Amino acid sequence: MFKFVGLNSTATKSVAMKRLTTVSTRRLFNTESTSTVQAQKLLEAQRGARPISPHLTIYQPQLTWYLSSVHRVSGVFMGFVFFGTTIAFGVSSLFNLGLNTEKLVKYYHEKIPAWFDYTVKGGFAYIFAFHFGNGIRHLIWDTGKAFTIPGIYKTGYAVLALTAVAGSYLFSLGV
Amino acid sequence: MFTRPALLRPVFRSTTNRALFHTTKSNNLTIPFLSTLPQAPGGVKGDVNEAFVPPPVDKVHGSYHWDFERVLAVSLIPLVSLPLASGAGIPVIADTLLSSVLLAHCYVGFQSCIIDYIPKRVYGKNHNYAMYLLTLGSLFSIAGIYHLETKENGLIGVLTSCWKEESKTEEKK
Repeated sequence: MFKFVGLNSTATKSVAMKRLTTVSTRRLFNTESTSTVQAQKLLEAQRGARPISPHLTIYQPQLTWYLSSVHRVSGVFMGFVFFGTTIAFGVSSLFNLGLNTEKLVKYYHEKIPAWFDYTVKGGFAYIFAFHFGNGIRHLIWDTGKAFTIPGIYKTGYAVLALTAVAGSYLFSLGV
Repeated sequence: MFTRPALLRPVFRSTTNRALFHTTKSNNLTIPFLSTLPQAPGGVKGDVNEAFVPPPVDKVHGSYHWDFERVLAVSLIPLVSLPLASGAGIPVIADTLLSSVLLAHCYVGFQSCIIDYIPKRVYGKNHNYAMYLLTLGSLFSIAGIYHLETKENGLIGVLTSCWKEESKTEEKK
């Protein structure tokens, strides 16, 4: 019943306006017909070229993920020390290379300079204290307690305080 | 005199200034010298109309693994507190227990790191090689712990000898 008329339609204009307002529309892009397969290939190429949004680079520094990172890094570091020592003794005993505690301790006390010694001991004391405390914090969460924003922050600061105290004490044992 | 209708006015698109938007290239943070598998573009596998098929339920690698991790962590608390509290040497059985549980704890910890940072989807066979290397290291570690417990003063013996200064090794804390 109703016919859609566009801008250029002569039915809506007076005779004088017809020639002046009839302009040809020119698009600023071309289209070409593609098959479904070609269109899919184009889509996949576009997907491959898309950038991803930043995530780790823009995340606001927070106690939550800072402590989580320190927990993992401290665990990996101590794990390497543990595996390194035990594997050294294991390989030496399996292949009769002659490593034992006395030799290791002697080497450590004679060849390692004092500054390196204190750095290693201090570092190890603090990261051990932190990993132990934060591990208990994780286990508290696993019971269901304190897994709220205030709880996480309170326990986090408690762990940092404990690390400072216990780490200093452990370091003092070795100085 | 007659202005052209707005619909027909030419539109000039400015090229988007990417510097305005803090974007990154497609993720190419990979471990050097480790070969990777080709990934699907944009991370999209198949058609958007295909239903997502979740991985099959596997309690051994899911729920039981989690329980095992917590059992190890909880048992480590008394095992570690004992040598810390006593200061002097601890019985061999305690040292053996501590070393074994610590070994399992480190194994599970490193396994989590390998799953996170050397995922199977990206690294394929290299993920398996990393796990084999970890297992091999653990076997040598078992040999080392056996040697330490039977022929030396145990793991704690090594630690306390290195930790305490020469002059204090005779002191009993």
